[in-house]
Amino acid sequence: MSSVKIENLHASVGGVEILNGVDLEINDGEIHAIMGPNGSGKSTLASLIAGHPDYEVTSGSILLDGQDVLELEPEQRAQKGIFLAFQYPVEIPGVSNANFMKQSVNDIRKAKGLEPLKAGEFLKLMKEKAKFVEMDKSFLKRSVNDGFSGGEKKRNEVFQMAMLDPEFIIMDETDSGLDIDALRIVANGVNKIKDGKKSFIIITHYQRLLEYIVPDFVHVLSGGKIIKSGGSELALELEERGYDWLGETNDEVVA
Amino acid sequence: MSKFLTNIEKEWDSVVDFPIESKPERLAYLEDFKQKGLPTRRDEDWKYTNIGFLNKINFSSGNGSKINSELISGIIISDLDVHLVVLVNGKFSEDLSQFESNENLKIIPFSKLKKDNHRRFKENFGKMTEGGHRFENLNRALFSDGLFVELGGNYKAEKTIHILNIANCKDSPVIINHRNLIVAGECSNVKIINSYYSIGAFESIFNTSSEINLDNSANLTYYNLQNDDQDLSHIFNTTRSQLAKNSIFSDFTFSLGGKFIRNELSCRLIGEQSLANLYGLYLADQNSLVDNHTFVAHEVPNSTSNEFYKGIIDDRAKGIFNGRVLVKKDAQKTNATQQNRNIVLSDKAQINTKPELEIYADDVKCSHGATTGVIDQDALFYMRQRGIPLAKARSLLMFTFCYETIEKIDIEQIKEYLTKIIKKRLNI
Repeated sequence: MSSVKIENLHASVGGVEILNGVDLEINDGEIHAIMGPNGSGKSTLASLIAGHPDYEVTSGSILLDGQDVLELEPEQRAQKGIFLAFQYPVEIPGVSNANFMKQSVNDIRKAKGLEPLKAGEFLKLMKEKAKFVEMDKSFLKRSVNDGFSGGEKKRNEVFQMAMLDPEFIIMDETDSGLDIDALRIVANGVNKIKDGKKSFIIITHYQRLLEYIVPDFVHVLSGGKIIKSGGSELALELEERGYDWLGETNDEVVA
Repeated sequence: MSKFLTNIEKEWDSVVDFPIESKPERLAYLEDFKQKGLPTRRDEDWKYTNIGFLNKINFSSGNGSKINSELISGIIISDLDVHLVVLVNGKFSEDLSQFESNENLKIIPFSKLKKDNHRRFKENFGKMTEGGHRFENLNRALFSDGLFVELGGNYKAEKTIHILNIANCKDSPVIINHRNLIVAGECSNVKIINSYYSIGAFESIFNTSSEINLDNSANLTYYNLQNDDQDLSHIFNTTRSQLAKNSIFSDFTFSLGGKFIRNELSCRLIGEQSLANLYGLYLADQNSLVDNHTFVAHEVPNSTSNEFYKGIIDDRAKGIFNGRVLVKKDAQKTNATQQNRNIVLSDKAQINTKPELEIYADDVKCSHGATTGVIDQDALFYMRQRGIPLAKARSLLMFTFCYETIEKIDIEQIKEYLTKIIKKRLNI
C-alpha cells in the first residue's frame, strides 16, 4: 500500500514562495514523472516531501496512505517508507556505507517493531542488493559517497533504495551527470526494485531516463504549479518542443 | 598572601631532600614562583583561561587512605601488556606498579635514583624546563617524586610504558607535583602512556612536568590520556620535547574528562630530518575548560611538523587552542602544517583559537587553518532521510569527527579503549 495525495501544496524558503498550489495523486504502484524548466520548483517538491527543515509549507497537505506526513520528522517519514534519492548525495567521511546502511535498516525496522537484522542476514542482504547496481563489494567498506564519482554516488542512492525497500520513492534528477552506461545501470537497478506496489516520483530534465523507466503519467511543473499532465508520450513531446509552447513558464522562481 | 600561596608555603615545609636534588637547590624555583604569583587573565598566555579556582581549593599533598590494587585493573587499558608505573599522590607506589627495568630500558622512580650513577639523567634533568613557566617552576620546587626512563641505543621496547597518576582525594583535596624525564637513545623505539585518575569526593590538582629527549633516529610516541572526573579533576600538564637528527616524536593528547585541563606542549626540532606529530582531541561539556597551548620550533633546516587538533565543545564549556610555530632563520626547507577544527554545539559554549606563526626563513612550506562550525546540516538531513533519528545521526557525525584522530593511533587496544569512552560520551 502506498498511495500519495498532494493537495494544494504551497511552500516557501526564506520568505520566497516556490510552490504555488501543487496537486498530485499517485495510486499504488504508479510511476509519475515530473519534468519542467530549471527553477520551476521540482527539487523543492522533492525536498519538501522528505521533510527538509529549510522549506516551510504555508498551506496544503501531503497524505501518505491517508496520513498527513507534514507533521512528521524526516526520519519518521523515512521510517514510513518515503525515500528520496538525492540530486546531490552527501559525503560522510568516516562512516562506511555498510555501517550507514546497518544503522539505517535497523532504525527503520525498529520503528516498525521488528528486531534488528542478524549480522549474517544483513551481509547477505547487502551483497544481494549491491548486485542490483553492479556495485563492487569494496564500495561497502568505503565511507559514504566520500570521493565517489558522480555516477558512483547515484548508484549508491539506488543501492540504498534497494536496501531500505521503501514504499514511496522520489528520485531527484538521478539521471543528471550520468553517462549512458551508468544511466543503464541505475535504471536497471530501479526496475528491479519496482514491484508494482511501490509508487515513484521521478524528477528529470530529460526523456532518456524515461526510456528505461516508463512512467504512467508525466507532469510539467512550472512556476510552482503543475501546468500540464499526460501519459508517457508527453515526455517525448517535451523533448521535441521544449516547454515554451505550454505558456506560463515565464514566472520562474528559484529552486 | 593569596590562599594558594599560603597553601604552597605549607607544602614547601614538607619538601624533603632528594638524592638527586636537595631542598636548598630547589628554593630558587619556589622564590621565582612566589615572586611572579599565579598568572591572571592579563597575561597573554592566560587570557581565556581562568585559574581562580586555585585560590578556592584547600589542598595539600596529603597521604590519603590506601588504594586497593583491584581498582587498578578497572582503570588501565584492558588487554594491553604494559610496564605499569603507578604514582599515588605523586609518590611512586611499589605495590601497585609492575614493570621490569634493566640496562637497556631503565625505569626508575626519582626517589630511588642516585644521580651520579646515571650519566643521561645528570645530563638531562631539568635542562628543558630551566627558564620555563611558572607551573614548571612550582613543580621543580615541590615535586614529590618522578619517573626516569632511559632507552639504550638501538633498543626497541616491545611493551608500552604506562605511567598512571592517581590522586587519592578520599580525605581532602590534593595537589600533585610529579615529573617525568624520558631519554630515548639513538635508534631506540618506545611508546609511553601518561594518564590521570582521581579517587574520592574532593578536588585533585595535577601539575605534571615532563622532559622528553630524543637522540638521533629515536622514535617515541607519547599518549596523554585525560579522562578524569568531570567535576573534581584539574590538570596542568607541561611536556617539553627535543628532537635530534632523524628522530620522530608523536604526541597524542586526548582530553576527554576533567573540570579543568591545561596542556602545554613544546617541541624543539634541533636535528635535521626530524619529525614532530602533534595530535589532539578534546571533548568539553558542562562547565569544563580544555586549553591546549602548543609550541613547535624548527631550529635547523629540513624538519617537519604536523599538527592536528580538534574538539567538540558543548553546554557552557570552553575550549582554547593556541598553536605557535617558530621557524628560525636557518631552518630552510621546513615543512610545517597546523590545523585546528572545532564543533561548537551550544550557544553558551566557547572556543578561542589562535594560530601564531613566526617565520624567519624564506624557503619553507608552512600552512595553518582553523575552523569552527556546527554539525554538517546536509549530512544530518541525509542520514535522517535514511531513517536514522536526529540524536543518533548527530552522535554518529560527531564520532566520525573524533575518529579521524583515533585512527592515527597504532596500538589497537588504545584505539578500542578511546572508542569506547567516546561512544559512551556521545551516547552511541
